Amino acid sequence: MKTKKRFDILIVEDNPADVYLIRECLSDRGIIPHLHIVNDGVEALKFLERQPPFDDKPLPKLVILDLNLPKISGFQVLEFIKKDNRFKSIPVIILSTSSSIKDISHSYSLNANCYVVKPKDLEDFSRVVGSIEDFWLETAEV
Amino acid sequence: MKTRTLKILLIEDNKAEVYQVLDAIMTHNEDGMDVISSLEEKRLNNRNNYPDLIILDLNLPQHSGRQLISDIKKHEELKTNPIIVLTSSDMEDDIKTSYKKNISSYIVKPPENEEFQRAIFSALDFYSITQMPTNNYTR
Repeated sequence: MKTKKRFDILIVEDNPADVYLIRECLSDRGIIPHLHIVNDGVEALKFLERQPPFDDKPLPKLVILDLNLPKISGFQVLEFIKKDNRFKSIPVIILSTSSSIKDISHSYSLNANCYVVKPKDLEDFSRVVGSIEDFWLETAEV
Repeated sequence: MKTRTLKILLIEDNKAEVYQVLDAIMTHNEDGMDVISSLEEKRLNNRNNYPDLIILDLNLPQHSGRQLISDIKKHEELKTNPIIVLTSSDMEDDIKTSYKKNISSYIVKPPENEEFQRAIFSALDFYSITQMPTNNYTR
């Protein structure tokens, strides 16, 4: 069991309702997640590169990435992360409404660590977030 | 919420370790687990045996688990399958290098069996709600 320590998560999501739900579903037991929210792909890259206004931000331990983003797509963000030696070891969880075979395959071919379809049901959404929290914050090493 | 049971491939050549993982997986009620100790195993040629998830120990006496990750990533049928490294090494270098080789996740084996089971359950609970890159996600 891990001791309580800081765990920074970058969430790349343009839907404020989903952001709200993720925050609400995360519990305050165990490791405390520090959430950094950006709403599009360009902001995501700026955050990782620590460009203004993110120059004082830490490198995240985990990225939760939507695919349907304004400006540049989630695929482009994923490709950027997984091709850059500074960032490629950061696990990226795709969290998307899309259940298309094409999107799933493409994500894995770009080396996404895993792909989760966003449940429509609130209870299921909570369960999914809980499972992400339990595994990535409490079990896996990052 | 509909979750799937998982077909797991364990790459491990230590019997005691195999039993420990098998015990945890069967308790969690998965689809079953196949065990191989190298990628040369003929079973891998049968499409019906292709797994959802691969669990791999870095410290395999006969083969380098580290090299195995690279080999899996070149294997035409297995290269996009999520790999969980399950190993005793908690060295930062092993963790970072494994992720850079595009594994899915890394778990340091807890020494106590209860904690070990909990870690396996956590992994299985998580991966059963993910979509897999093979056609098996339609199961």
